[in-house]
Amino acid sequence: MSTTGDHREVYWRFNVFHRFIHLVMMITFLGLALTGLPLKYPQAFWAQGLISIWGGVKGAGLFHRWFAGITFGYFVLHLLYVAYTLVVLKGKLLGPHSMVPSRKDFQDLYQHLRYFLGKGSPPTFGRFTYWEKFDYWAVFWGITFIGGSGLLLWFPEFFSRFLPGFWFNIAYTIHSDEALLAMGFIFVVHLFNAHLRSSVFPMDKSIFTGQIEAKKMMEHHPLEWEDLNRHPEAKQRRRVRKDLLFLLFILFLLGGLPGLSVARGLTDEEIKEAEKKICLRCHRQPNLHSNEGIATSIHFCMDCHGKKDVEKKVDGKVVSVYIDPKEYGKTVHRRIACLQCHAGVASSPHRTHQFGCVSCHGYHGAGTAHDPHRSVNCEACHHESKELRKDPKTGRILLAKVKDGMPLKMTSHLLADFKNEEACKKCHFPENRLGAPIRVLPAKSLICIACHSSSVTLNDPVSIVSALLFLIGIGATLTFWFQGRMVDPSFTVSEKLSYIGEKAWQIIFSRKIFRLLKVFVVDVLLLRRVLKESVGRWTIHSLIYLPIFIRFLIGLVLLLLSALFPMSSKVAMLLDKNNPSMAFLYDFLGLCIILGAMGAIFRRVRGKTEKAVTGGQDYVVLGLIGAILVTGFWVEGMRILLTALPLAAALPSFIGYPISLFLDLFPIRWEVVYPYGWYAHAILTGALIAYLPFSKMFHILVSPLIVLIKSVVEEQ
Amino acid sequence: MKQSFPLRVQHWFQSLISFRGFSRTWMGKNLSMMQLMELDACTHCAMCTSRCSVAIAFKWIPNINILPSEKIGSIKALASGRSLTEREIRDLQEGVYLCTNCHRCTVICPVGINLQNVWNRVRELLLQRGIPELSVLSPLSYYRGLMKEETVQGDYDQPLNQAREAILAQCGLMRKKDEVLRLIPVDPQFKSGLDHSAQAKNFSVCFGCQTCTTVCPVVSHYENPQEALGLLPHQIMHAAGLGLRDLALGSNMLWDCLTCYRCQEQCPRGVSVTDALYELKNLAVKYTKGKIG
Repeated sequence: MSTTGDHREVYWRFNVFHRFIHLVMMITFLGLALTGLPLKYPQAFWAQGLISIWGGVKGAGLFHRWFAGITFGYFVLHLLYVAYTLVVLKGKLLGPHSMVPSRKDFQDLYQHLRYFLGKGSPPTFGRFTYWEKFDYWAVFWGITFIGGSGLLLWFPEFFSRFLPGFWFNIAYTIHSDEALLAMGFIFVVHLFNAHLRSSVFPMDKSIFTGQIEAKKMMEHHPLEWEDLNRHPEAKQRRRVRKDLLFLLFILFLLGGLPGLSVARGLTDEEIKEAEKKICLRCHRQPNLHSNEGIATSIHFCMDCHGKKDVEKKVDGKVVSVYIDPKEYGKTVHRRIACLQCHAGVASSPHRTHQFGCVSCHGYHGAGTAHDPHRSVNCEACHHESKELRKDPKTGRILLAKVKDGMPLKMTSHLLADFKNEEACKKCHFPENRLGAPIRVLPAKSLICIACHSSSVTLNDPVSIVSALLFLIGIGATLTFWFQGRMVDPSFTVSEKLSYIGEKAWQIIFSRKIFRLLKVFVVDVLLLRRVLKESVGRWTIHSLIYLPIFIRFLIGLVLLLLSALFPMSSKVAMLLDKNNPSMAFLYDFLGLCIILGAMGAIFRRVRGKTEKAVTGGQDYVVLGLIGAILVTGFWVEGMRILLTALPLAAALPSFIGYPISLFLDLFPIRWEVVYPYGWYAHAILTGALIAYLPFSKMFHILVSPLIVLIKSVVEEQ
Repeated sequence: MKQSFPLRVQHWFQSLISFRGFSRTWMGKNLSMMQLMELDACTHCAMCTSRCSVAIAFKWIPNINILPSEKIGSIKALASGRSLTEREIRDLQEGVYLCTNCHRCTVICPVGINLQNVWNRVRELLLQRGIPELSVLSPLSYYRGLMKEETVQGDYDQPLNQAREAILAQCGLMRKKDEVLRLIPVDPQFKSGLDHSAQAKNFSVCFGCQTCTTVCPVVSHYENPQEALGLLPHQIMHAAGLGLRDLALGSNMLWDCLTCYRCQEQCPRGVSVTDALYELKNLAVKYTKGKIG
């Protein structure tokens, strides 16, 4: 094998036809996945949004069938192309240019597996590697089976003439489950194999450009490379006649058309007719998980509550408990059995103690409700009633049943409109007696996650501006870094990226990962080298950054947990600011940071840092951190004061609680001040985040990176 | 070097923001990506400065770039595209040159930044710009040439040549050997300027016995020393005694002196010939610096 030759030379790997089919396949596959998935998982939170992209269920069905039509089209095209290659071009069904698996593929697989385990050398591949062949056949059989079963489901009237009914159940299982498998394979295995392998990272463009660089050809397909160099004329072989391609293109377009013409959903009349025949015959038990059972249950309750004269006495006053069936029919819960929410009401005494909202709905995080509102009952916000009260014993916010000595009717089951913030103003208004701030404050956004459990949102101007500045800073930094040399001065940015990717993979999947972990703990977290030099400096540094790191970690873990287990009451408990252990931990860590910042400023003022020319950045950053902490405790104190937390719940906040007592001494309406304090805290944080990439504080990201890189990469 | 108050305020505000430009810079292109990341990783904790073996020079040379923790800031500014004045770049050049390559900064850095590599690289780059670094002429500085991989071999002694060219340009007599000198006016400032050190100011007792010149190994190296070197040691002493600045500074002898101290040891009048040559060299450097700065 000659090793000389121009490394910038390119070889043709895929002809126009290959690339065209792949592109079409890519688009239709994504289309099919995006239209099919919401049907398979209608309960998932993303299903509704996804299906509305296609204009509802009917639209999704239409698009699904159109994509399917195109899929059949290119499948047929491909078969024709294979036939053309075999018959006209006199290609061979077997051999190095064929997709048919050969014995060498199995040997390659075995050798590759051995290589992964650290034994032997990697196999030398020909034109197609074994995994590329696997990908091909996975798609081939996928289209056959998913497409075939799809046809059965598309035209049941036709197929049921000669197939028994259970075939359709089988077809449904095959169609949906194998499609899921295919998606899993494409999004996990194929994409990773094709683009994220260390040697091609960040992207292998050859399926789009058709070309492959000589260097990569030599590396990935050495046998093919050798073959092409032995028969230079073969390089020209990878062509397809343009006129033939045009013909095929027309055929392909026609392939999609049957899908369009045949695709149509059932009409409303047809659905009604079908429902009449099926549903009401079988379900006799009042099973709350079935439509019929729910209807029975509602009827049972409405037997009494549906009559206009049904009443009860509250505080000696007569109140109607009539529920208008028509009104009830307008609520979103009209298809839910009464007993589902009024759990335990079907017993004596005839009373609901707690609404079981969280048996169906998850707790919402900080993003959706601006703040978890853990001390507020679900119905207090979500019910349309505007009258609320605070339970003096527990401090919880509940629906009020009495207003100005007059009992309130609770007959409406309509929910408050949460599309705008108006709904929040039933608590958040001036002169409220519930301890709510007088203004609706934005959600804790992504920038708050440095210290608080927060949402993955950026809704308020402070967060948006600071995040934007932060990103600009990061972008400038990356451009700054990537102008530097790496290995070879002629490297382009993409070659640098590729090199970094390769190195990163090599390190992550090797024993070096353990060294990285060790260095992370010893040198990054515990800062061994600083400790060796100066204990005082180490103490101050650790007092500031370790608490922030721990709070960041808690925020991150809780964010993950609340996304994974939205229904878990334990996660909800950890997210609660008034949870004793969390409140204590947060206050303690905050105290550490303040002490650290004070120590650092003291050291600088006293001139302990010998020859260093202390810049203004030090004071700005330390001042910002100190101010963030001070405003944070101030806001916490106000919150404790305003929500009038019971002593037992407030005491663990061992700094916030004394502050709240202190604030109480002033004749100031703190609920008016609270939003300003909150915004001061947020703006200071935003300023610090935005300042980060433009100041020496950027070291909190880059220094660990350098320490880690240096521990595993030897310098050139 | 006290700056005016508004300038100090302006510098303070400038130091608050680490400047970042989106364009490639000459310095950035020539450093490795790792080194650019290292510039960002510096926390300015000044541990390097507390251990630097030449930090003490900062007491006499008011150039902040002698301190490694400040040097790295200037390099970062240069690499990220902040426009430094020519003066600032020269200060940086002197800063990176005044380094003993002792690696202490690299050993101590808590982030593990290879500072020594950065200094070496930046030193080569700055010296290559062609601006003379006069510290290269100090006999205490061990000879540093350009040691870049891509440098043409002939360019190796470029730094020394640059510095000598700069001196040459200012002290014209080194080139024009047959210039007729005007003996008047004599520079009285010059003579009194030569008494920095107590032992060097006794040159006026020289009676021209030529012992220094006779024993000088540099002089004896040449067939025709007058032509190669210009004034010989005893003549230099005499010129200094007469206060003839142009003559005293215009001799190649100053820069070829090996500082072996033979002349000083043998002088019957006890003139500190070598020390006086040092003084003259320092004067020439100071003079040249003043002209080109």
